[in-house]
Amino acid sequence: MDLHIFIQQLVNGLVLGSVYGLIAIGYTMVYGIIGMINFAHGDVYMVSAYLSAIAIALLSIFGIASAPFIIFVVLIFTIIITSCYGWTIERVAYRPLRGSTRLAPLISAIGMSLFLQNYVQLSQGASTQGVPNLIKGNLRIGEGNDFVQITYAQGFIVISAIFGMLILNFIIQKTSMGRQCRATQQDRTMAGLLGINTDRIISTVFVLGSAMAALAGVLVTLNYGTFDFYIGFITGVKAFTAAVLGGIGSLPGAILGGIVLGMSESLFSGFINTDYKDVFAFCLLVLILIFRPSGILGKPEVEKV
Amino acid sequence: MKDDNKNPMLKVDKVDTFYGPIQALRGVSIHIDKGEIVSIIGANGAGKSTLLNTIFANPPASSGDIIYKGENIVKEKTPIIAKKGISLVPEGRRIFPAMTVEENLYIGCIHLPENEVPAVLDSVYEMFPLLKERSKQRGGTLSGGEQQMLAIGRALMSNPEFILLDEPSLGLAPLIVKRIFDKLTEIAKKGITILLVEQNATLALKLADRAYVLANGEISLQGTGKELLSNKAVKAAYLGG
Repeated sequence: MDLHIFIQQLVNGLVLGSVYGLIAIGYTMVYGIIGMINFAHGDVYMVSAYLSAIAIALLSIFGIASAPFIIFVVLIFTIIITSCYGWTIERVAYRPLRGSTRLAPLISAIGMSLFLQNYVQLSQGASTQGVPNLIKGNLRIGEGNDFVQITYAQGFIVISAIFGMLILNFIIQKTSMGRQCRATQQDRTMAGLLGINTDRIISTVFVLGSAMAALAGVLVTLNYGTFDFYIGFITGVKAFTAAVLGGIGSLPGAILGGIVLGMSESLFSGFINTDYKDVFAFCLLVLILIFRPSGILGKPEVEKV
Repeated sequence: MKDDNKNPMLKVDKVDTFYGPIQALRGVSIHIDKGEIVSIIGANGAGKSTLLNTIFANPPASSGDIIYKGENIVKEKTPIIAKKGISLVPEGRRIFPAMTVEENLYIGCIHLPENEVPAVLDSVYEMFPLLKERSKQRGGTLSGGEQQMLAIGRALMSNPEFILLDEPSLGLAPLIVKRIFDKLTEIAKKGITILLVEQNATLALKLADRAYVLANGEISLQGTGKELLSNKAVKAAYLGG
């Protein structure tokens, strides 16, 4: 086992894990507040990848070539429009079903997921799309053939993901809006009795989750450059796995779960087998669920008085 | 007894409430004047809590009117009613266990203008010094009595004119109950109107200016606290003979 390969795979795993973590936040927040798995969340991420490509294309039509400026505008544009998608999805597909059976919004979510895939396929075409590489260059540590390579795009992903999570953490922990979100999550009826508009808080949670997925979408698009209308499915399932792994409902759990999943996936593919990396990821999930059903940081369902 | 012609703080008029097919309240009419302490006593399942929850539209009344300060709020949604200066201390306290004491209190005043918050917070801490000591502690780590004080403190954070309490003595030691009831007297002295639902009928009647007895979803008796304390039927049914 070579040390430089090990470190290289850890770096790759951290990059992958930050992306999983960002998307997992959306699953875990929505689950925490309304107890529902939003299966359309992976497709929200997919939509954000397309939106960032559209933004890059629009900017190049206007002849803007400055990469930092393009990245900044693309981030803002994608996050805002994707948040609108998240808000609309909740409004159209989930809110009318609130108060009905637990399964109804789940089915609605699957329907919404299929709708988004087909809508993007019809409007953007079924072929794989690509964007030019905006962040070039890399950092090499080591000599000769034994080196660890970190591309600037990878560094950008990790730093942006940390930054995004810090902003989200600040909103949730320190602002009045965040307090209302947590209160609604712990006891929705009581939150309403205290004058909190819980419908609006639930919308806010969808917007925040979608914004995080949009950040992930932009970062992945900038790093890998290619995507199609189907990327939301597998990435969504992986991010959902990360959320469950970390303990669904827990925000730090989602990030930790993402990083654990990303690292174990990349270590497995680096040292054992690339083809079976997804199998390994899901085996890990099965094992964790057997031995620690509430996830790494999750608490067992607290009995309410 | 104060007469009905005066404009009461809250008037509940012939209210019916259903849980699905089950009727929990049958034509209940009560009124509470400004500055009064009114108690509602009754057995388990008589509809006491339902009456408080109906005032908050949770569940809404299916017929009848609820007039708060001259305005009919029977059709309003829960958060809107909470904004009008009515606060609820619910049964079982229902504080937010994973949030700190201070955060719990801040949740109580989301509709208060920001510049008024520090003064209100100080006045709540003054009334419950213990909450100030524990302000950074998680709500769930408090004892039952402390949680009850937190729930009352949280309700006071919105600077209410009218406060509804649902079984504040539930599950608490007699000494703590006495302390809580002393606080209620203190709150009433500040000019806040109180509607109290209690199973501990003796305490509730002693504290109250007026009281209603609720049985099977209907008001069966009403009068001043003293009248009901000496009423034979009340004695037999609720005061242990």
